[in-house]
Amino acid sequence: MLFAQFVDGPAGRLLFVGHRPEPGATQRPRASGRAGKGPHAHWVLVAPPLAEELNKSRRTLSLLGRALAKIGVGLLVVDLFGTGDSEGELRAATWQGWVEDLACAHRWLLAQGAGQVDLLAVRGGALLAWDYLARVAVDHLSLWQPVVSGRRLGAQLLRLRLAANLMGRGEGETSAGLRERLRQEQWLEIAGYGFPAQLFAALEEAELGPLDGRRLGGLDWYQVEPDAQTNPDREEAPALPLPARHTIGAWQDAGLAVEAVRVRGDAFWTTQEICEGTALIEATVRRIAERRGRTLAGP
Amino acid sequence: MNIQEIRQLLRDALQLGERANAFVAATPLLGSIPELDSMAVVTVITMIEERFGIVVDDDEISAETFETVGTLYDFVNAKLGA
Repeated sequence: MLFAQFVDGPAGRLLFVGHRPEPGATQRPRASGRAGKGPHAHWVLVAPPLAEELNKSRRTLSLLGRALAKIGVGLLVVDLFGTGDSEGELRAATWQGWVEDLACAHRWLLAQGAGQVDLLAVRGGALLAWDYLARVAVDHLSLWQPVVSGRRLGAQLLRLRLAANLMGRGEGETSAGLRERLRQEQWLEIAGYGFPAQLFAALEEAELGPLDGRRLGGLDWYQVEPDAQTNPDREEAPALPLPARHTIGAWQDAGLAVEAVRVRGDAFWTTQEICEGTALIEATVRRIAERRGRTLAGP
Repeated sequence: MNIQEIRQLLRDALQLGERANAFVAATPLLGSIPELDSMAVVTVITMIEERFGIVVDDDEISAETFETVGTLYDFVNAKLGA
């Protein structure tokens, strides 16, 4: 069941949007040690993508919430402080504040009776989730086309502004010039979003680095690849991008159970028209259902 | 890397579908492909970085880079060789 409500966050009211599990969607076995926590026991908390990618992703996240509700799993998307419909201006937002917002949403779910809260991070939200995981243990993290390096994401944000130059509307800006402006004015407008310098700097420092004591039961890395049907040039599926392979390999070497899941689809977080990550939703729901089946069956 | 991979990348980044099949080196891009707005330029550059594992310095990019399929191919090729 769809819900949307404001909740008092650390720095202002936050909009929580999501789907509650449908009543009776799954029978929890009486023998389960988790019995008694009610039908809302399993939730997925979303660490949202940043800036325009959030808007482009809402449709797919909403469809995911609907599909998860049917298997008895709830989904919560939190609009971080200064983003979406939450209180505050982006110019007043901080990276640490956003981590606190995630923590707030997590606590709220537990207070609502959630017995298990998994994380799903989308694109740049992966960097935020990774920082959050440094202080909290989570059973499972799903990453949707994660951004591996904040430095790269920062460069892409500056690029968005620079690309307008190519369209002939620019002021002859350079990335060095934009950085200098960010330093002097302490904020920079990028595609309609006013990024404060502190947030931008923190973002650029974030990365999907070593586990460093992060307690995580397992991780699914979803990589979306364009449709093979329309690709006469492509004879075989390409390997995962190099940065993804490096990151996954390092985590596996450190003992983390990582599964790379590759699905077909368009890059819904960036396409001009809103499109739906149908195969991504199906794969995510299937894997969550499988994991849930194993959990409910017990050892 | 060959020019087919650039065609492939443009098809994927701009969702051109079968329209991209006709792309050759001389096919004009910027100003000729309506899908190629500033957001899409970023998508293309980002996809180049992720797919080929290279880092593009934004100040290297000019309108000329996006003039044709061939100029974009030359740019990526030069980056890969660098």
